Amino acid sequence: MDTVRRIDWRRNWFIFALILGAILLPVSGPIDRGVLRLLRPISIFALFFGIVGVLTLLGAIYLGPIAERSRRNLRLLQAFGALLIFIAFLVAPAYADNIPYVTTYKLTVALQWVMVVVGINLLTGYTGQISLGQGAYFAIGGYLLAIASFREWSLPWGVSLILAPIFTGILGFLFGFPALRFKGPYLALATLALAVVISPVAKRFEDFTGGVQGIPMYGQINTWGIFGDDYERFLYYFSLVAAAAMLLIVWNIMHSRLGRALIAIRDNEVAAAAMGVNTALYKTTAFGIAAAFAGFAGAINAATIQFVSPDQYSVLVSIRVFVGAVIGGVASVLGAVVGGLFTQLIPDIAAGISDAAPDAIQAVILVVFMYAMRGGFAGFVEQTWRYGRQGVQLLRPERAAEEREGRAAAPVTSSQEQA
Amino acid sequence: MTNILEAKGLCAAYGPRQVIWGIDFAVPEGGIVAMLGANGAGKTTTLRAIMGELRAWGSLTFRGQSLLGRSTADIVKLGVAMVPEGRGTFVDFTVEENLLLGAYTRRDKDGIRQDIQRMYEYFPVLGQRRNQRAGSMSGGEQQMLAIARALMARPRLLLLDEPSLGLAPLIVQEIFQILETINREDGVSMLLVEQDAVRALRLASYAYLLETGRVALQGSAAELQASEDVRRAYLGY
Amino acid sequence: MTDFLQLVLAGAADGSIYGLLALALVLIYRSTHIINFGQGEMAMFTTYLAWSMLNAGWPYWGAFFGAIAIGFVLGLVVHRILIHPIEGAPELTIVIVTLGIYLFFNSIALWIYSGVPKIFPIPAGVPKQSWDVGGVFVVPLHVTIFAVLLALMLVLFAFFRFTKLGLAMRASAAQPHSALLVGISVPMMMGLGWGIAAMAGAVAGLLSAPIVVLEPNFMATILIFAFASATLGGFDSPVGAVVGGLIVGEVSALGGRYIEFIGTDLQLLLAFALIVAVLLVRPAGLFGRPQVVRV
Repeated sequence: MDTVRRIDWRRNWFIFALILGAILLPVSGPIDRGVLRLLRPISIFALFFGIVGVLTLLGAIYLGPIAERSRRNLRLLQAFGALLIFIAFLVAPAYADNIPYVTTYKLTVALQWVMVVVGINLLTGYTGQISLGQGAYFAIGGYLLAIASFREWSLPWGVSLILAPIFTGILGFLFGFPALRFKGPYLALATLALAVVISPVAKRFEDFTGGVQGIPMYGQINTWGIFGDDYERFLYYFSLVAAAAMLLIVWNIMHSRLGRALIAIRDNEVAAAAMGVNTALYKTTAFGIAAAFAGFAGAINAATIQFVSPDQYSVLVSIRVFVGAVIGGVASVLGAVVGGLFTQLIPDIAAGISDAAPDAIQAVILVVFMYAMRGGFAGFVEQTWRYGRQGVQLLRPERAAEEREGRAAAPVTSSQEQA
Repeated sequence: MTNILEAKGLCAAYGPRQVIWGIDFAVPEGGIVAMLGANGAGKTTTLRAIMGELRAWGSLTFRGQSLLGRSTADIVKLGVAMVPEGRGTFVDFTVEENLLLGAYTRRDKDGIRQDIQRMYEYFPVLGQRRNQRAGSMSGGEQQMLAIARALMARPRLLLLDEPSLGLAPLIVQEIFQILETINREDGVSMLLVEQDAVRALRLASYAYLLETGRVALQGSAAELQASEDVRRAYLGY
Repeated sequence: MTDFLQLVLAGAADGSIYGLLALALVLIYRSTHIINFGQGEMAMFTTYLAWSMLNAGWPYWGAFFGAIAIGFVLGLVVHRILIHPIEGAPELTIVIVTLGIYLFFNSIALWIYSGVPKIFPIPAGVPKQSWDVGGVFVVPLHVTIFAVLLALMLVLFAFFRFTKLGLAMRASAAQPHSALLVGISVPMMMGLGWGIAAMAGAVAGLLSAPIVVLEPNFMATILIFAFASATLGGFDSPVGAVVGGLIVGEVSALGGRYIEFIGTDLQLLLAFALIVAVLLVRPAGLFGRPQVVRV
């Protein structure tokens, strides 16, 4: 029993989660009564984290030394990991039917969320600016495509696709200037207001935006002959390539001088400015890039859904995508992938658990993450890797016994304990 | 002579970082004990450990009861009050409000009113400024207010963290004289953390010298004043 | 002219609602230095609970005060289990948790009560007929809302100024460390702050529900106006919150009518512009105290 008390739960919880999940999952399958229905998703959750955690530990123990030997090794390993993930996405459509809750269409939209999330990661995770308004740029991008290519003018949609990020990027950059004056929650507040305003504005300027009825674009987008008539597949791979490109861009930024400057700004803006970092320029640029990404994602999203209307751009879009970013891990490129997937798939899964209150479940997941895993999923992976490198220890060190005895040691010759 | 406060093998840590490594000390009932040492020696940390503000273990008893693991509010209710470093007065509140807050844990309205009067007798300048905003007073006046505020809880043990810091010598003298009076008349025991070792040793009867979280030296005030090492290192002559 | 006065009165009524919710926001900010994005949804949920009580046959004022009491407990509980544990956490975490509060109450309400709009009665005893005062139609409900706002302000003022508990709460908010040293349970004080704030929010919900229909998103836009009010007035000033609310209410009402461009749809845009403008020019708001940040 004493051993149980000495187990370092905080660091090793996922190992036990793995065991627990493995036991519970087969058992909970047939249970369908009331609250007990939660057992199945909980066990999947536990199993998921358990597997990821243990795999990361193993990776840290066996691959860690290789990675640490040289920078090049580390980069190679990371590239390999990224390649694996990319390949997984490449072949996913073929297996989509076998995975519950997943369809090619949903994965396409998930990839579009990834684009928005990676912008949020750059803006919030790396530069430390909270923006609850990315949904607004998403909406603007979508409307731009719809208006420019179908309603007002007939620009080829590819052109609109390029115009959207340029337009939203400039908007975001300009918005970044007043945003310089806002700190923390006030910035969140101002950006939230931006998100709230989009829907009413879209309804108001009916002539331009089609008002409440929106702008339909069914069957009007041509796919340039790639994949023939398979519109869905085309958009999927298009989104995949675009998302991968954006991830690469952000990854490059983060490992450059610019990235270090952004992190400096996030951690201590005054100190960064004192060291000569042009904080204003960098912050507004981060806003611009994030807005551009969101605008592009919105445009391609509009092409995917083939419809835009004010109701699909409510404030909840901004909130949900921000939540997804945080859960994925807001200061990480890997986190963006997880975040995008989360934003798209969790509402469906949550709805599967309890028809009625998917957002409530999302909220609970969110809050649990904030207590247990502040760095999100990516943070969990990082922490576990580091733990693996330091040496796995199931039991806490023997501090407790000494504390209880009370050490009446002579003053100067006290313990040699390490803190 | 019983000890009102006794620590044996007291250790304390800020999170994972241990800073106090098993110290023994005691404050006799009705006495004044000084804790000296350079910056970073752990003096303030010890006081905060007594008040329950950080993780501490070992043995720490106040009038026979262990203080470890209790909340600060409980410890105040048991009869320990602290005058923190930097005074800790409620700067946006009046002198009188500060005193009322000091008596928060008490329910006897008449007793509180009487004590407020007594505080004004000990510290006349506070009486003159009873409706003035505490933040607008001078450092010395705020220090007096901080001490009065702590005394309003009718503590049996008063902890003081560097009361002389930033004050003019004459004011410090006045304050130390009042402390001595309070100790004599009300029997309030005191544990005094000070960098001004000269003054502290004049007020206290016993002293401990802390160095990086351990007791380096201890003895009666007279002994320490006479000790060559202490004089050279801490008293400056 | 009568038109104008009519508008002013309507603006004051709206402004009172904004002021009430802004008051809730300010109380929370003062006690815990948090901007609670979920405040509106908590108020909305409490209003729905009142609706349930009314449906179960409770008399109006029973449901009114019952809902406020539940609101108080709700605020206390939310603080204790969600906010207190993450006390020292970085701003981002706290913003996320309050967003979680928003999502949670929004979806729970949707789940229990569905999105179908419901009718909520005006307070019992308030006449439905408008009074004709020299050609201007004064709506009794509006007057009631304004009166409730004033009454609440007086009660809160008296509480914070003249009671021991109020003093302790103010002290905890201003200097938590010193408050601990005098034996105040600061977490408890913070919880009470949240409880009182939730009560103010509940009142805002209960009084505005008769005007707009009761549906899960009805407090969302009021929240933005309340944010604008608190920003304008200063997040650490209760008086500012109320004055800010009235100003925002008037500007919205008058702007909506007299500026073609805005109309009724874009009043929200006006609120947004107001928030941005205030944060640019005087971030502390009209009555707030500028913050000096230690580096």
